[in-house]
Amino acid sequence: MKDERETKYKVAISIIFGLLGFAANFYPVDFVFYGSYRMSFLLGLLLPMLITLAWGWKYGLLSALCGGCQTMWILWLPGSGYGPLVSVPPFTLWIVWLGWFSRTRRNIYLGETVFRLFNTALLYTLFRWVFMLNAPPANVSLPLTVAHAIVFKEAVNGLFILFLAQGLLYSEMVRKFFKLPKSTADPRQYYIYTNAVILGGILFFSFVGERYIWNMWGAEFQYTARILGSILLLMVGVLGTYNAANVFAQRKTEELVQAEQEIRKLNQELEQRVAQRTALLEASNKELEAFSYSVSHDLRTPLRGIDGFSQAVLEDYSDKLDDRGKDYLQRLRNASQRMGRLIDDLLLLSRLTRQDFTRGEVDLSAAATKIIEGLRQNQAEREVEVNISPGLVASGDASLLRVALENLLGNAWNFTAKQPAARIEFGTSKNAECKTPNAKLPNDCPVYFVRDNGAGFDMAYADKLFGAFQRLHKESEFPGTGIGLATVKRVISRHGGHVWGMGEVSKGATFYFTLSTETRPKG
Amino acid sequence: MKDKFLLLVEDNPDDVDLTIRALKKANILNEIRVAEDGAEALEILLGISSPETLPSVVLLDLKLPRVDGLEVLKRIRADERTKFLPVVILTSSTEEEDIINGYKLGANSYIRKPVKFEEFSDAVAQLGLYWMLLNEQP
Repeated sequence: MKDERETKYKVAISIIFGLLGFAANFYPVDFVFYGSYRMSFLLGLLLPMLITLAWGWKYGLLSALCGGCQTMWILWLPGSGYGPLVSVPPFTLWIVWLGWFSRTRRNIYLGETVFRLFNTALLYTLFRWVFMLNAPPANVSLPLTVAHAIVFKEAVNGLFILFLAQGLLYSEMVRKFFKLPKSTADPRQYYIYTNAVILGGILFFSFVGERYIWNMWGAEFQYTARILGSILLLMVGVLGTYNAANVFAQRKTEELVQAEQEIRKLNQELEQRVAQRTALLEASNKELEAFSYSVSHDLRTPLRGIDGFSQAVLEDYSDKLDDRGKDYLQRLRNASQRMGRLIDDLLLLSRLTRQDFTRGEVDLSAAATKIIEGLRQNQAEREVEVNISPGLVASGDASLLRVALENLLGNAWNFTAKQPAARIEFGTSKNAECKTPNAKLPNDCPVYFVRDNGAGFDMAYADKLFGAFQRLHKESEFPGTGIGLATVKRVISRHGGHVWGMGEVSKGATFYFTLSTETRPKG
Repeated sequence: MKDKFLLLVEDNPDDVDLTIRALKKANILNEIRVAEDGAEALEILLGISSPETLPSVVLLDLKLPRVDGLEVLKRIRADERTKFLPVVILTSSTEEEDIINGYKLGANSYIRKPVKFEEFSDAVAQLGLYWMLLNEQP
């Protein structure tokens, strides 16, 4: 319904404008240059031009056919013979062409130029030739000088009309009349069009005014009129420029306000999304907690049964079992105990993620020393040369970092078990000075490392090192659940750091880690 | 004076057998009563008429059918007669929350059941010896 009403409105306006244009063209605005030469502007063409630029070529065509471009048949017919047959239809074509071209979003003056070239060619060729069909004595080819004049007049007239229509269509008032959305053009164009209109006004006053107005009031009034006219124009110019500047500033303010609103909206959305995500995360954390609680409790209970009753059989019925039977039972027990350790490690890993993070100063050297002491107590028979750089203090969560160091040093301890002169080193260096600098980190980023001369590993499997339950050695060679480095990685990740390993089979391994991507301030 | 006894609150029959076995191995010959869920434990404890017939110690699992272990503990502590009754939580869970809540509600001890039977029986034996023989009740 709304569309239909709008279409009716457009059709009605197109027809009215066409008729008005038809009438207006009977009163061309003449700029007199000399003698019999007139520069006349068909201002009526402005009306169909406005229609075609605002609503497209179909309405433009309607308006042009309804009279906007048809006055010239009557103006030019007497005395021109067949001439108008060639020179008048292009006006309608002009309206249609520019209406279409303006929709292509290319510069409208390019379209005007293309049309003007075509029209000029037409005027010089077909138009001049068609005069020969006229009844004598007009049956001569049009003189070239006349053709020049016509071409020039039409070019100036066309450009002027187009310019005026464009300028008017920048005005919000005109846009409202045509039900167009607010202009998105660069507001600086207002300056140009305003000043162009002023220039046009000066020309009008100087030429048209001289002929029609000043003379009416008498020659003695001419100078006063010109001075008054100039002052008036100057005022109009100042006002127009002020208005343009105002529009410009207003537009800028509107843009800023809009941008601010958009930012605020985005912010709100972002906050909402963060809240949503947090709620989701909390829910999944809760679920994980419930899950690991259940794992911790329920998964271990049957294992205790398996281990306990196997032991009970070994104790109570050992006389009825041969060695093989006893061995099987022992294996049953080993397996269930190993499963128990796996569950414990898995729980530890999941707890690391859930645990609260409390940042503080952590003395890594002291923690490492303590861990090594513990390892030495457990296996007093082993001789290991340990070198811990003193005074390594980092910012992080003490309990998490202890777990990471326990795993790294514990690994180093375990994997040097078969090395007669075992050596473990804990220290720090700058990224660039590492054996394998991390490309993602700045060169002066502090990097901690744990180095050993133990079993090492094949670099081909380096990407598997940090996955949970990934082992690069046989259980029988080096015991472990394969979860230690996954744990380390999780701790380091929670600190916002990186961890990577470097190794060579039977020559040892070095594990590097950073605790934050920030570098120390340069001093 | 009536014989001292121990109340084991445990729903898993395997764990019940293993605990009893471990206690016997440690030469704790006192009577061991078993409650298979929290409600049953509360019936035994709060249904008792005189303080003399209370157990020397309650070994309490946390994850129990019907009424769970922490709830049992809460009710034991809320009742005048059983306010000082020694309760040892003996469970599989090592969740920090459980440990903290256990002590908050007034558990006397919190022991985690190890998978390895030797460790388990060691723990149970020590528990039995301590609470049945060494500990003096009010």
